[in-house]
Amino acid sequence: MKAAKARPGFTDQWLVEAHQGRPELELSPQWQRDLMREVMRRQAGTGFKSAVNGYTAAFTGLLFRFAGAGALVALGLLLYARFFAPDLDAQAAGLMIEQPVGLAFLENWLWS
Amino acid sequence: MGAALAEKQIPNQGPADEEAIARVLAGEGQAFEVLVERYKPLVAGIVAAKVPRQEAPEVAQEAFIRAFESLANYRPIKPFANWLAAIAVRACYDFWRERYRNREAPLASLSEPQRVRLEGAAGRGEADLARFEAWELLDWALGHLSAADRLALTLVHLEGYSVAEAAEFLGWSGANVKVRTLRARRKLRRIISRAVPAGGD
Repeated sequence: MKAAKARPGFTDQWLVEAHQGRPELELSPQWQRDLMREVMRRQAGTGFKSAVNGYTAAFTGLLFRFAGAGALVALGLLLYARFFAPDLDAQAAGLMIEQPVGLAFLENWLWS
Repeated sequence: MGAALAEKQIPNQGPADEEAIARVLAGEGQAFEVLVERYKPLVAGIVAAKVPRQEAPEVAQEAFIRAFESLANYRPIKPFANWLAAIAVRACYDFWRERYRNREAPLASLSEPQRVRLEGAAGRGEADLARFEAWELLDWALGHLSAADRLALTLVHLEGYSVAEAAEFLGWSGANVKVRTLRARRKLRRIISRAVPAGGD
C-alpha cells in the first residue's frame, strides 16, 4: 500500500496505483453460510406462489395501464345507452346514473 | 471483457458452470454454492474496489442473490464470469445511487474522525495529506462525484476496462460512458489539485 507522500504529484498513474492499493476483501465462511441460507430461503419462496404473484402483478399492471382509456370507453357507452339507445338499454343506463346502488339487487338485473 | 477479468484468477474446479446452473434451475438450490465458491474471489475483487470496505460483503451478497434470482435469464453465449461481473458492477452502482439518494456521506470507507481530518488536511498541502493512505485520499475525491460518474471513471480510468466493456457492464451506451469518464476525470483532477495545491501534473 503506498502512502500519499510516496508520489511527487497526483498523476494518472498515481490514481491507478492508489486504486490498486485498496485492501483486499476476504469473504468469510460465515458470509458464505449466510448467503446460502438466504438463497435457500428465496428458493423456498419460488414456484407456484411466485408464478401467481407474477400473474397478479402483470394483470394489475395492465389494469392500471388501460384504466384511463377504459373509463373513457365506459363513460361513452353509458352516455350512448342513456341518450341514444332504445328502450331497455336507456332504462338500465338511467338506473345506473340515478340509482347506482339499486343495480346491486338481482331483480333489477332479471327484469331489465 | 476478457483481459481484465482473466486477471482476477477465476478458479476452475468442480463441475462446469453449465452443470451447476442446470442443477440450480432444476430446483437444487444447494448447487448454487458451487458457483459461489468458484466466483467469490471475482465478485469480492469487483465489489471491494468500488464500495466502502464495511459495506462490501453485503453488496457482494446482493450480487450473488441477484444472480441466483435471474439465473434463468443467463444464456451461455458468453462466460458466466462476465455475466456475474456485470451483475456485481450494477449492484455497486445501485449501492451508490441509494447512498447518494439518502444523502448519506459517500465517503464511508473512512471513519468520521478520519474524514474530518482529511477534509481539514485538504488544501494544506501534501505534508498533511501524507498521513493518509493513497486509496483513502482517492476515495475522498471520488466521493465528490455522482454515482454514475464514479462508476464510469473507476471502470475505465482506474481499472482499465475499455469503454465498450464498461458500457456492457453498466448497460449504458458507449457514448454515455465516454462522456461521463472524461467529465469525471476532469472533475477528479480539479478536486485533487484543489486539495493538494502543490501537486497535480
